Amino acid sequence: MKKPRKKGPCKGNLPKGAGLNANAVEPNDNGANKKDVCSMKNDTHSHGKPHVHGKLFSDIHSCIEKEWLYMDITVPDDERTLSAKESSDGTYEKVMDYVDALCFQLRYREALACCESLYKTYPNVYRLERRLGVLYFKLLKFDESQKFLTKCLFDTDEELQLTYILAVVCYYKEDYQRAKSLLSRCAVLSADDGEMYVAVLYWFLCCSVRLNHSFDELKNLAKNYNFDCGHHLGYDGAVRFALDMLSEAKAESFCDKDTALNRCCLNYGLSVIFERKDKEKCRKYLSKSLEDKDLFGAYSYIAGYNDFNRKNQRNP
Amino acid sequence: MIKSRLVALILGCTILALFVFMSVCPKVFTPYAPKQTFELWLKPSASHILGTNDVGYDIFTEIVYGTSQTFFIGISSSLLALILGALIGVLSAQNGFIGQIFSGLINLFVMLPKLVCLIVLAAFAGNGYLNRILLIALFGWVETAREIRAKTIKIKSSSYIENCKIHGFGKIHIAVFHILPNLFDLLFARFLNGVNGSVMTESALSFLGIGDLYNPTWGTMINLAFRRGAFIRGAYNYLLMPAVCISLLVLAFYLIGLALKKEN
Repeated sequence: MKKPRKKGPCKGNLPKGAGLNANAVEPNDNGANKKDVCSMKNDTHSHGKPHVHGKLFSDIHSCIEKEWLYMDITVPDDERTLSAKESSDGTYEKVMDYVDALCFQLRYREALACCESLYKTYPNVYRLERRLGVLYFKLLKFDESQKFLTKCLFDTDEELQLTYILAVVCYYKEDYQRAKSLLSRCAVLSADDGEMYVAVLYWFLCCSVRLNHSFDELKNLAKNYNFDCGHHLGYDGAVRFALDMLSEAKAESFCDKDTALNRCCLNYGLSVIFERKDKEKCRKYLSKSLEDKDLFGAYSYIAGYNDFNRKNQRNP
Repeated sequence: MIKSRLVALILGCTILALFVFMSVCPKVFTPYAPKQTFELWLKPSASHILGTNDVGYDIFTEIVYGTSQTFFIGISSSLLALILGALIGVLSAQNGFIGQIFSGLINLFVMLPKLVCLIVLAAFAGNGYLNRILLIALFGWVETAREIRAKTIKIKSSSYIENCKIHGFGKIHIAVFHILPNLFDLLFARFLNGVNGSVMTESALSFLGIGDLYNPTWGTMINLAFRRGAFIRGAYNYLLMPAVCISLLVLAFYLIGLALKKEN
């Protein structure tokens, strides 16, 4: 019988006020933060968000502390995970079912362990390598992720998706030049898909800022953008702001009524745009982008988390 | 004409018998277990007639073992749809309020966009066998009910039914002993057509990703082949053979139906 998760507020490597504590203590051997471990033991972990069947989000989902800080926290299996675990017979499909269920609970570390073990039996299986590539970057292991994704790129019929993920991984690794060239390729491939195109523009914008390039290339690419951003409202807001189509006040409230994920994307985009213009605003938006820790699997959140650690000269 | 009917019947029965045999005794056709793995993307050879897929499973073995899944879903959903259709069809042929209610129900289901509804409901219901059978049957009874209704109304106005009424037989007696036996030919034809429809619907749903990946049906196999890059690797067998099997099975039922319909 698994020990239920210790309840505690998610203090940790997250901003003060928004969770991140810049004066955080030294990490211990396994990468976890001693102060965080203590706080985890005493407080409730629930974020107070109601979930299905009277459960809270944190009751059936994993958290940063477990996935990135390697704390010993047990997330109980939900129905899907339990059923996948029970029916698992070690075959590819059943293990991948279990991996899917674990990922649904954001339990990336356990999912990765399953995939790594499965990879010994099923080497060179494209879907598995692709999954490993994604899981590695969700766990901030960008080198391994890049290795698998690059391998998959030679053997894929979903070039757009893979190139896009690889570009974002390159961005995380601060290889902005390569990320930018991959995103240029994505822009060509996603010309008919506004939703994807705006995501490509967003990361292209971030790369341009980091490389200290002008927005001319971005403006050229934006000529093909049909402003049909679908659910990528956060990306859209940041790109519009960069292209001077929105004032700062409007950009700031662009996603107010939308999902937390879109707000995270928008705030991270704004923080990058202000990086060279206004350090204070950059810090403010970065902090806002990291407010909702439940989004730790999101691309923008990972980027924000990396930036925060980099700015505070800490190794994630 | 008789000869052509006979040829259609023999051809249909032969194909059907082959598939039935495949689903009952898969080990006769393939020496491999369904989840036995080999090297990935092997080309067709003597040991692997259709080659292997992205996980290293023998494609022919998957097709053989997929026969029973496809059959099971096709026949059970068709039977269920037939029962529903017959019941609702007979009830809608009644005079009065009950008849109006069931006629309205038929008209309602005729207007619904079948595939869209199925996709939405299947996404909520999950990809279990029972769910898929129920959903396919839920949207598969309408044509049967309409035809049964038309024929029931016709039979009801015939003189021998009038005669039964004059002799004082009850409604249930007339329905069970005098109307139902006259519907058997129609029901049988609808069953054969229904299996075709169910197999096609199941394949469409599976192709759209609503299916059990562990025990793949032929539709699921096409979906997997499509998603896992069979085309760019030149593994056309993986894409085409399940589709050929679906076509053959549908053809078998169609030929039998055609032959028997003319006979009737």
